[in-house]
Amino acid sequence: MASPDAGVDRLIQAEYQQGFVTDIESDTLPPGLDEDVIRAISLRKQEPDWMLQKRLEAYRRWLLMSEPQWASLHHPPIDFQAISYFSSPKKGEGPKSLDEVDPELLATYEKLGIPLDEQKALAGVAVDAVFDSVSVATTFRQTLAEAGVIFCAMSEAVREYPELIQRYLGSVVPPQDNFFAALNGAVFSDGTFVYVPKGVRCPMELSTYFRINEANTGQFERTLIVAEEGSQVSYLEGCTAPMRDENQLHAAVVELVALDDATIKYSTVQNWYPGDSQGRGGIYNFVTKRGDCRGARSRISWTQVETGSAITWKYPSCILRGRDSVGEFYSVALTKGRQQADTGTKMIHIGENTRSTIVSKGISAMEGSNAYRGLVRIAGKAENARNHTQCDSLLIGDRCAAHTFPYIEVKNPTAQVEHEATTSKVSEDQLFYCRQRGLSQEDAVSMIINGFCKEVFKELPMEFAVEAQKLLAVSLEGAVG
Amino acid sequence: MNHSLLDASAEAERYIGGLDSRAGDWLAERRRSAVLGIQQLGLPDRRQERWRYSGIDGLLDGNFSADWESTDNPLPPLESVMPDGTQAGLLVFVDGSFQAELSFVNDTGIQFTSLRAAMAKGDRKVLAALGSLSGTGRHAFSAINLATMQDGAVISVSPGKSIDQPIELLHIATAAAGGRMLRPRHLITLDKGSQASIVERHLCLDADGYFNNVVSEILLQEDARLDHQRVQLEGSQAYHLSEVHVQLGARANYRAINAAVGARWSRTEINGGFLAAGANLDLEGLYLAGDGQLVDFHLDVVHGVSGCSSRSNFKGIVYGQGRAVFDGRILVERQAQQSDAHLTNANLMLSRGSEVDTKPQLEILADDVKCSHGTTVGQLDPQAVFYLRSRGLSPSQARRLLCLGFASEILEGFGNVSLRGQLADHIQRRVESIDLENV
Repeated sequence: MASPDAGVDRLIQAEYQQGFVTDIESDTLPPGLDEDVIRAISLRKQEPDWMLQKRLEAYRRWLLMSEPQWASLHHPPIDFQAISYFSSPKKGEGPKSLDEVDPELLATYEKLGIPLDEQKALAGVAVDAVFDSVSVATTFRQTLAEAGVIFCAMSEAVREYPELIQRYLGSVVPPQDNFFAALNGAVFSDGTFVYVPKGVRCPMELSTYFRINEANTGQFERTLIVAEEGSQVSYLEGCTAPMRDENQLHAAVVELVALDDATIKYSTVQNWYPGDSQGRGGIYNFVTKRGDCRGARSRISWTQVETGSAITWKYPSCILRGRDSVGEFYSVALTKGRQQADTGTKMIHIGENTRSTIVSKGISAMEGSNAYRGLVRIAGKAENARNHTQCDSLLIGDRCAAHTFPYIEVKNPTAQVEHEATTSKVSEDQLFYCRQRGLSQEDAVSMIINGFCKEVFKELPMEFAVEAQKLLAVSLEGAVG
Repeated sequence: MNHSLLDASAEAERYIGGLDSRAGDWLAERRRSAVLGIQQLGLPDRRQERWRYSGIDGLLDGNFSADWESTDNPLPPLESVMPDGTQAGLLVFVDGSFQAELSFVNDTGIQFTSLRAAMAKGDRKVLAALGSLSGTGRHAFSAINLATMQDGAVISVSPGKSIDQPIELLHIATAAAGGRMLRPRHLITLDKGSQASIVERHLCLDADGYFNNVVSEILLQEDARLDHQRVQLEGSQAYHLSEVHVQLGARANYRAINAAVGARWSRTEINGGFLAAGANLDLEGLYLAGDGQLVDFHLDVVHGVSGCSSRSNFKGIVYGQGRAVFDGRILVERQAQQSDAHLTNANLMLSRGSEVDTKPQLEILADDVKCSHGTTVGQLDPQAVFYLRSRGLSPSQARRLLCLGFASEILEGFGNVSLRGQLADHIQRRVESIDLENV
């Protein structure tokens, strides 16, 4: 089996393809964080005073908190004073249309394969592209507006829809929730706001592409999706980042609110720069994502494909408050090189007849470390709650690691909770079987890994499923000797 | 945190100063380092990951003393709990002290001495082995045990010997144990190729609140085989903490069944490790947590060498205000290729107000392994209950039958028939007594 190894190594060691830096004049605050920096951010974004007060409150709470140490992650301490907390790609006023957008920026998207105008025409996907911290282009606003759907940058929403923002922002993830959520609450730069009114089925898949571009600027996105009674929305989030040699911090917060009979589907393909094979550089991704199924029969579904970032700390969760509400979490996490991922979910069952499903697939290769950390809590009043959890880990190479830390807390005797987890490597028997049917080593492994992840991929919207498979293929195809 | 338990150092000084003077500096040294350990480790609290589900407030409120009891108290009549005498050895501990006149060893393959005697004699071999598997411990309680240990069983089985009948370690708490912390410490060694089975029982004879803080260190040499049946039937006001450290040599085989049904608060920590390839660790458990009880099991199985296997299967029934905590950790280290490790935990919740917190963990650093864990929490199948009721059984009979069925997988592992029967009776009695209104 020596010869296939070479091909495997070549493939595993494939350098990050989306690595390039766009030189655009940018308006960046000097590194450091204090109340003045927060005031400056708020001023630049022309925010009303109540928003500034919210930020300051979050900052004051953050000062009292300490960084969580419980995850199985190892990284040098982060110097929060060495980070610049605001970076805007362009001085002056925001562009009014695509024509006003810096052509170099558009070219960046071109390189990533997501030309905005092409997407308009082809996929029927509205893209609110975030380049560093300010939304620079927003498409399909009109079509969405006709349906009554609000899809805009958070900074804009703060100015234009203050009642909605005041009502919902921070209602799912309050600033005191955790260290990184508090930090985000204080300095969040921009993000997306989606509001789907009562009974409306969002006419298209909503999508945002994020990129971190400025060196040493943290990206602090804030996303809020509110689905009113009986509405439906599917949101796609994808990230790629250019190659950089310094660690960049990303601490996003995503809040979802689903009222009666509403459905929110949130899909992520995350491919931030993972650092080189020695573990230099790479994004530190500390994300708080939480959905609140407030209404009866509401439904929130998280699907994520995590292949990037040096460090991933992310637990998309569902609070199943409404009766008969449903929470789902489907995840594929891939770590290679020196990547570390500590990811999972929390399903908090509070209402009656609530159901949740967790499917987590971890793939560790080279010196990658992958941990599933999940909580299923059935509160005393959650009659007839159901949960099924399946966590599988695939190990490729003898220096990688796979951990599983499920927490199960049941306080109601009518609950039915099942958890199972397995860890193994790609079986020699399966490989042999495929090989003797004439498949190359690489194709065989690719097929086996795709099969391993299939349960999750089938939950992704079609556009993303393709991208996800491509990502896995590039990263890992044939990664077993 | 300040608590009288942490003042065990003064108590330890007494042992160091006088009681085991003949053991000399060596033992004094060990006790002193354990006293340091008590201060450094501190008392557990719920902010610690390993204790997040098990509060110890009640235990601390008990203010159990670590004093050295006088052994010349007249014993209460113990006939009712004494076994039939068919054992290869019977070692009786009353309130933590070895009772020579109640005990016997019938097999020449077994070497036995009480820990108290070994310390008094200054038995270097025994003293050197103390704490070799447990270390100072992970929390103040195990350090307290080491700092103030007073008695226990030191058993070794000669190479190649196969002991057919079980050796029984019988622990009885009597009224004299009230308000005290008992801290027996056992040291069990099976030499190359030997085989034995040990029955370890913890019983109570009308004692009020007491705290039994037990540590066992078990070393199995190459090809040795030990069957360990443990039954915790402490008094309803008792606190029970037992720590088992097992280390297996090449091709050794350790099989343990742990039944925890008594005590107001109990916690069993089982630490398993391997020294060489081919060894097998098999842990089973059964717990019952009813009104106000907390039953906690912590497994820590470390695959540090390649080619070993471990299997853990724990089942529990909770009802009333009972709480069950299960934490099963499997660690497979980088060099431990060809490890095979599996763990399952099933919980049956019978009534409202009860709680199950279960946390199986897999930490895998090697790739050529087969590891899995699974947990379930659920209730009795209403269809099964309906079936039995349609056959004329009362609801409580149906429940009893189904619970016994659930437990039987573990119960059947008890080689000792009378022990099995005793446990089955206990479970039936308690399951049948549950107030139907709250189910």
